[in-house]
Amino acid sequence: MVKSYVDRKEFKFLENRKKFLLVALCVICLGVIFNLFCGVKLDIKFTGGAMLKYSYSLDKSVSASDVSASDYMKLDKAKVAAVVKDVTSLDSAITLAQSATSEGGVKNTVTVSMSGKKTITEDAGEQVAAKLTEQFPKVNFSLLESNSVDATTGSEFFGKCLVAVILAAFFMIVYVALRFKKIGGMSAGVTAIIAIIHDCLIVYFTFVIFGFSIDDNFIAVLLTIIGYSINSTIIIYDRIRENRTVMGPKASYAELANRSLNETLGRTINTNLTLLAAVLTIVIVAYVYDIRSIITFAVPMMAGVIAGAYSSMFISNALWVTWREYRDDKLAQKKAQSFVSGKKSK
Amino acid sequence: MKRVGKPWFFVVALLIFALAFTSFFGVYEQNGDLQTTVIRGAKDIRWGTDIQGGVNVIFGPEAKIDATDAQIDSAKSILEIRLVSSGVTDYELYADKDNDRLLVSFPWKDNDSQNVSGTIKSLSQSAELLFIGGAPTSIHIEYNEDGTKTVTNQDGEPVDIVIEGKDVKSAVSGAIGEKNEIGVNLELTTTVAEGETQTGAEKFAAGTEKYINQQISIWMDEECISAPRVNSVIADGKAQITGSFDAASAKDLADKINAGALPFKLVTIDYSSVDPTLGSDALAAMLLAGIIAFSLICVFMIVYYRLPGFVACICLLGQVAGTIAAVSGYFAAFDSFTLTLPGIAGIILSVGMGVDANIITAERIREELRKGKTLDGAIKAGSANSFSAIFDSNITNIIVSVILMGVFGPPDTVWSTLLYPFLWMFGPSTTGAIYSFGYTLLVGVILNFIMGVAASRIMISSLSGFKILRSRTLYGDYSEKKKAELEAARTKEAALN
Repeated sequence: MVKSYVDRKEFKFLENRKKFLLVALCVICLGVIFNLFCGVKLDIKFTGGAMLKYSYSLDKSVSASDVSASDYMKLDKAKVAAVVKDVTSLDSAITLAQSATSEGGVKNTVTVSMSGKKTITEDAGEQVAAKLTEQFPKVNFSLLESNSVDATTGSEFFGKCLVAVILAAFFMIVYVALRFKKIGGMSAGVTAIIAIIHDCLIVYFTFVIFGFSIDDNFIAVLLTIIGYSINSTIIIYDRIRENRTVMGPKASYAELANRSLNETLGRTINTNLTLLAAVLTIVIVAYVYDIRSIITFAVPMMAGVIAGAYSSMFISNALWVTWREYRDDKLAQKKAQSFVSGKKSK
Repeated sequence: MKRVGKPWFFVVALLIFALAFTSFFGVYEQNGDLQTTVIRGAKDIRWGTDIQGGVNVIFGPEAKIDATDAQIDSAKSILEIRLVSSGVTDYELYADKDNDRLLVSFPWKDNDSQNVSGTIKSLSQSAELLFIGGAPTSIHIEYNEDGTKTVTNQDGEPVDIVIEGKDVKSAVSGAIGEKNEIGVNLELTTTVAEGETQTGAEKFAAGTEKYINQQISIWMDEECISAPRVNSVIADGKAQITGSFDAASAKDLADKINAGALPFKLVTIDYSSVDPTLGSDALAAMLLAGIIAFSLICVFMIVYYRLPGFVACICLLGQVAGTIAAVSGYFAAFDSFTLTLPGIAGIILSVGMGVDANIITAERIREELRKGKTLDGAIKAGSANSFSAIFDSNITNIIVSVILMGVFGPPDTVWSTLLYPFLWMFGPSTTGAIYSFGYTLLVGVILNFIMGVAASRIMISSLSGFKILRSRTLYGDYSEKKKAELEAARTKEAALN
């Protein structure tokens, strides 16, 4: 006979649940305040609008020893905007950036964002490039990216994204409610979704704080985090479901949840650590190569993973226990009342 | 569940390594100079326009015109012809009949001069084809609110339209008649089109009778492309245009006439273009990040979970290989799938889910061992008890991926049909990028059941049959030293109480 060596040291998740919930609430409040002050940018993919991005380099005719070579490469933003206005008759915001290339060189880029939700013609990109070369004769421009989105297709795309998120949330509640009937399907489903809303808000605030514009990357991160977060919550609920049988009906909700949380703690920590390591690797590599499309995906994803770990440990269960206890209290009260009134009538 | 036989570990591991090798490197048959693909490798993956660079365009008829479904269809087929004739074969083209839109996306060809406007224009190049009685020096086309048009000549007088593009069935260049003269064979429609009273052939018969021995000029938009003289009345709807053509100019005219069958002018509603260098940097970065992350995970799993961790690494390799196979199409006969940047993110996500499945099982086995179960009992109980958690969490991800594929995928797929009740108010979108994410996630979740659950269990169970691998600590039980410590602590506690 082998002895059991199970460690019964437990971290008290539920005893301090109010504190943990308060922390989450404070973070969300901070996010809301930040959002009020900084506002949020919607990408032209949602609002409609136009964007052009060029890389530019010194013309080959300029010799390396030319002292004014670096002066040639200094683009005057106002001049660029004037050229854009000339071609498209739209005002624009100009951003200049430098990044490392995979060959070890330096890449200069200029991004032109048209103001207003107007589209541009398909040859605008080339016309602007030609005019820019007139303005800056020693510099070559080549079109990296061009985007022109009609306002109606943009808002339609936005609507689709919202529908996708709402549909996903709805079907998940239904699934969780069905699978976890034993521990109160509805309470399990709804508290899981509250945890998810928390995570989605954190992802959203990350976009706001870092000034990333809300685009289809946002939707992809949101759906990924929804998947992960519900995954973590379900694994703990699964253990609660199992422990309900093991510990019997006498165990309190707090005991039950605490035991389950502790038993799954190893999994929670290790899975989230490996995940975090993977996403952090992506963030670092993307940062080194300066690849915006990956950075705006991976940074909010990292925040979402942390939020998901937090909410599955401290939010969904805490709320579930509170919900169940409240409901039992109500039931007990009702019973007591009917008993009292029953006495009176006799 | 009985312990799986010893050889099974090697069978499963070999299968996974074979899958990994073939899906990464592919299998090709060399027949002289000719190389045929038997199994597609990673280099045969079709990259999305966000990686390879390319163009996405949404075309539609001019704002005033409400096109019929049949017209959208014919516009689509014309675009197809134009894409193929300009050498683009791996394009994606969808028609959205509800909103009268055509969605096109295609990658740049190798070393293509990235002429965005030229490419888009040559596709949508419109195509108001008119056969006009007489030969005016210029014409002007104006579109009316109701979709009809008024065509006037240089003096502002209305011209006599004999037939239009939609009356033309086909135009083929080639040798004509007994003299084998180079020219264009024109075939007109012999069915009455919607909203018309006459067939193309009938109209042309009337026109050629009216303009016999005079010119009928052929106009593409407001440009005259040919002005042949009518030699005889053509009643059977089969006309020949001959003259001073060579093979190239005859083909050019035939192409233009065919393109002219496009029943309205296409305008660009949305477009986006990505330069290939932009995406290739992103791809290199993602690949590097993937390799580093994979190695980190493997080291962690082996150090922390030992034998189950080692098995997990093989399963993860299988999962990555399986996803690549599903994306590339694996067997040459299958369709391949376009992989975009979010698609790669989906692979990373599903590998994360795979890690999770392995961690859950390994944790459970460790827990059962520490409770005092025998090794076989712990493996059995650990596998059985962890299944419901893995199952439920993966199902929720299937929900996410199916919704993504339905919402952002091309129309006419199973997914979008399933979701139609929720999405009828939206047209399809060109965001194949997110569709790709849903696809890789779905494939990943399915592979999770094959690799993370089935394969991993077979391998752990099989390995536990080897005598040298039966040490409990290999599966995460406490070492004897730690057990003694725990025991001492417990007696101390008991003594205190």
